[in-house]
Amino acid sequence: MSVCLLCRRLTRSKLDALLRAACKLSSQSSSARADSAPAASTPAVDEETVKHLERLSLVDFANKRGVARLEEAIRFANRLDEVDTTDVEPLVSVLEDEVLYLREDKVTEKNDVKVVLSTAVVTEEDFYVAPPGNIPLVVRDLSELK
Amino acid sequence: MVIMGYGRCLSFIFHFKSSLKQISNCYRFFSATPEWEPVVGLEIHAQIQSSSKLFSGADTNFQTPTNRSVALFDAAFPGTLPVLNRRCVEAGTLTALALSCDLNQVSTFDRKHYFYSDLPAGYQITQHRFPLAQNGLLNFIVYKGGSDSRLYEKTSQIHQIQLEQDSGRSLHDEIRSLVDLNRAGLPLMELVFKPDLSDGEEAAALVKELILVLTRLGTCSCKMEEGALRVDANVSVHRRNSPLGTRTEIKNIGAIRAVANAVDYEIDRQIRVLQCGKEVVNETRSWDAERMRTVPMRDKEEKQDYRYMPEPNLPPLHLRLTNDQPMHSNMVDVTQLINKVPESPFQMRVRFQKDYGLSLLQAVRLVSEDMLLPLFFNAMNMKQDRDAVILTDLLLNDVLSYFNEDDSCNVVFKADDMGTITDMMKDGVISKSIARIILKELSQSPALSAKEVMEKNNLSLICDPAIIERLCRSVTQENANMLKKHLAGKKDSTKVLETKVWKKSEGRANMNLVKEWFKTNYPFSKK
Repeated sequence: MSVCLLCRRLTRSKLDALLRAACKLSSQSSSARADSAPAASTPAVDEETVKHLERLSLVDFANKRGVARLEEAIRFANRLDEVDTTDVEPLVSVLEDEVLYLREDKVTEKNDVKVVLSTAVVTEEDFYVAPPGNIPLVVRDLSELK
Repeated sequence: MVIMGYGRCLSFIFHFKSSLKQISNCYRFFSATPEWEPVVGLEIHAQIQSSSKLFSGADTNFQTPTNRSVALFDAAFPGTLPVLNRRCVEAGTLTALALSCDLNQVSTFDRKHYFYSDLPAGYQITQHRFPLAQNGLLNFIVYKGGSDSRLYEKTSQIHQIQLEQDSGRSLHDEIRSLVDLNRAGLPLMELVFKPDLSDGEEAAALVKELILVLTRLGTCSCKMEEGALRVDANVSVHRRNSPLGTRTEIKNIGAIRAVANAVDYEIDRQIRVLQCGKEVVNETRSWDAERMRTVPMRDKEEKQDYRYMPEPNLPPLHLRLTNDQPMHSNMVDVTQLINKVPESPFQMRVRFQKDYGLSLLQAVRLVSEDMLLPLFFNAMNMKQDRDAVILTDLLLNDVLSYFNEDDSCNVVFKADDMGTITDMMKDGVISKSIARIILKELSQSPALSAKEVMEKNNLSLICDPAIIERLCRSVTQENANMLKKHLAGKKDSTKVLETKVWKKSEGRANMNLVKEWFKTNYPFSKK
């Protein structure tokens, strides 16, 4: 469904550009497989980046497997750079020509605090209890990564 | 353009208070130094007055108990989707029109990512790439007190107006945060002003004017004490004829006075830093009203990365800007809304000066008093040639204090009576002090009219020459010594004696006649 809808919504010029880009990609694809990407595109994830990302995401991944997975993900995403997108207006949504629905300003939700708090691990007097702000993670020695 | 939970910033202030103790206090004023030029720009978050939230059907009541105004969408439950509130689009549009902005026929929503526990989705839905409106203007009047007091007009340009969600509120202690999501998803409009201002007083005047505009439009309650209007100030300082300096941002200032104080403090702090040969650090600070200083808020080692991305769950928002655009049930019709924009405070001030001969100061004060304006308009409509200057003075100097002291809103004044009193003052029938007596009576017995109060208490000015004569004679007799010196040409006591007559008559003597009497009977000639 989505391909059909997508095609319908693309103007001819966009479609041409996309097709052009797709051809270019497929002609390169044999040499640009994710697992055999050229050395230049191999991401270098250094210790600082890992620390920074851990803080931003609050996800703990500073181990060999975690970093390998991150590098894999970057390599995967980097393939998008191989597509020539010159003159292609980015398509944000296939609904970009739709008019956003507007709802009347009425209160329609019941306030069921039990449901709202049902997924919280810790609560107190109907508050969610969370760790104290965006505190830095414990800074560990990441030298074992090297 | 960062939003911060209300409670979050409070606790930061608390936290930094303790660390401040170690910093020595060597704060001095450098504002007067002419070589430094401060640059100030404001970003103002105004909560849109609506019944339900921006994207959910939860209510917006400020005082519901903890987590009682939270739809599943506001708590970011999986599978929930945003549905935009028409009222918020209308309010934003109306505000944009009142501030002469260019409205975007199509605007879009974006996600701005932060990881805070009071932002459960991990992002705020805002308008980053194509906001609702751009390029507006706000004209306002700045009043600077002190020895060289002056009143001047100022204009600040609006960069853009965008719709966005508020975050939740968190209370912190040492080991944890308590999160209340009642605020999460409340509709905000963020007004981003260009850095056109140069000190705290101008910043405060801008906020005051914006409050007037928004409350008159009914698009925001502007109750700063409830967090309905929050001000962020960007401040930098540079030497004359050199590039702009590094700026700092003071977040979430919650009172008009605090805006003036925080900006002026920050300007002085930066000048001091620069004069010591150090550099201003680009950072976020908060205003500590108790200690009258700004303090650093967030750690500044990393630049925040919001990873903006288009909001995939909301197609573009459309407005109907012109009559040749077809009508659509999901388009806010700007051609209709434009008729709902009331006269701006600025236009009103200009009109008051032009049509009624008020001074700029009178116009500024009158326009900012919601309680007085209807009285003024009605009294003037009843009788076009009424003396508007006397009326305005009466309203501002005497009537206003009744409203200000009246917390329970019991006092009612009628425009009719205001007009009558004005006319009588103009015609010399009553004096200012009698007008005050009448007002007092009126405030206590609202059933009476001004005329009735006067008749009941026999309050009109004494204009009978015989009575004036009697009053003046008795005063001169009681002050024989003073009169002697006066007649001997040693000291002019006319004024003092006149005042005594005025007091004796309980403020009812026609002072023109009294002055006349003394001039005729006891002219002063210095010997």
